[in-house]
Amino acid sequence: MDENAKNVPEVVDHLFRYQAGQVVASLTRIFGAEHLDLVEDVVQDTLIKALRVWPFGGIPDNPAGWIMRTAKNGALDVLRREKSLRDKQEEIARLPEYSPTRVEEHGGWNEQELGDDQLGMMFMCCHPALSRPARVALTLKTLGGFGVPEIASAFLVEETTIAQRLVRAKRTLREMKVQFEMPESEQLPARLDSVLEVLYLLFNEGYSAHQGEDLIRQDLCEEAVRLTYILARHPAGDTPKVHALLALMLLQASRLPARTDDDGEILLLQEQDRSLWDRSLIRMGLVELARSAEGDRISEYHLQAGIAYYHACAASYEETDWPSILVQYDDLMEVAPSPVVALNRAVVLAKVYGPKVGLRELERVYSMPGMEHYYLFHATRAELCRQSGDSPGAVLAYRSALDLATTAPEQRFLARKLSECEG
Amino acid sequence: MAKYMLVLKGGNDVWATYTPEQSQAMMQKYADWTEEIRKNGVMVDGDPLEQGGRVLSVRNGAVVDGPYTETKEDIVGYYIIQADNYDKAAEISKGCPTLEHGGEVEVHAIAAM
Repeated sequence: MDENAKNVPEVVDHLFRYQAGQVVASLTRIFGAEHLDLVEDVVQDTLIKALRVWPFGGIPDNPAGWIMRTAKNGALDVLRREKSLRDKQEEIARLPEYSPTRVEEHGGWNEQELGDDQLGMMFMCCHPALSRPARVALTLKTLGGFGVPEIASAFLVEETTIAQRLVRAKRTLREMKVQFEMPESEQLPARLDSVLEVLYLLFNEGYSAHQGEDLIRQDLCEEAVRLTYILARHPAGDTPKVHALLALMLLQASRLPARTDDDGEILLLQEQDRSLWDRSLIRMGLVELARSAEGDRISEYHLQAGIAYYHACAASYEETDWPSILVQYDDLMEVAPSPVVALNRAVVLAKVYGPKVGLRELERVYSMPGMEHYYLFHATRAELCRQSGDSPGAVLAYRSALDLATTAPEQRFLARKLSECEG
Repeated sequence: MAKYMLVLKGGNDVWATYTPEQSQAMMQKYADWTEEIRKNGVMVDGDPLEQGGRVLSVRNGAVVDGPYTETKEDIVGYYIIQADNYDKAAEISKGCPTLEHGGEVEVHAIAAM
């Protein structure tokens, strides 16, 4: 019987998700990228063993260390049987043993090494050789501890699709002989961009889920913020662009508590209770925004964070500094033009110069790719029609939007707006 | 006070299907429950068992080693507790989290010698 258990009534926070992800990263560094599958398997087996054994023997003093040691030994057993240990012996011997007296919080690792391992894993999972969906799935699986069913439900695709995507991604990594290591310094900016793109996608998918009943997938947002935070705290990721993305995520996330009402229905910016905005996230976002204000290159993340900043600072919707936001959108159209940016810019244009100017701009936006079938284009047009007194136009546009909306809360929101116009 | 042996059977199949949060929550329940029965002196001992025991039997006068036990009914571990009587022991056993994930608890009084 383990007496230690008496003193550890609380299971370490996020043990089964984040600590497991860290163990996968550290063991992949040690055993090599080609053994990612093996590492994932032994870590999974180890977690199941913990669930079988700890209820009786008690939770060890250093649960993360226990998982690390047990998974490492599990991997060694398999590799010994396969006689494929080769030249890994030395590094394996170097692995620290985890005694209860060592740092509890991180299970005996030193923080720098932990950060190195997680970054190495991010660079590997976001390797440019992989497709974007594959990068996202691999990142969630290995770093976030998301299971295949969780990833599948987050993106509303079949589990087999995700499973195949992961298998193909790992095969590609093996075939390309992608190593678990920091990119060379001349490659670093491009490789960082690839990681940022995935983190940005992850956050956006969480912030406005594209399908299904839930409008917001808080877990995806949290995971994106957590990984970006790790990146920004590491010397290799301490760049203005990374801080700008983190600022953007924090400022956006601050509004999450106010974005839906008690029934999960969408609340527009002007309908939100601003006292629900998370002030501590806003403060952290402002700190990151200040850190991002270095260097001579402005990225799309800087500009989007700037827009989020003006919203976060406005005491009320009416007091929003629209002219400054318009400047950010003008710059965004230079740095990273896209139909969606153009659509949002038209909304701000209407704020500054009135709905008629906004509607004129929308005619230009309509010819851009994808806009015809984008429900938000039609919803925006409807709102501007309504504001300019064109009720029949608003009804028509809301109907088009309703036909195209895919999440249930979006559909209910549009139906509500439509009935307001018709009534 | 008499001693009782709680034999836990099955319930391990679910772990592979649990999300990390579900695993975390279930582990917390075990931690809370064992902490409680330890603190109030109910729990005397307890151990997990390795998976997959073997059944020895005699067939045609010879001891046969095997077959393996059925995984579904695997005994996963045991607790020894103290209680005033069988009903109290059963009452305590009802709090065991294994009942929440498909496991069973057998409550046996340990015979006084």
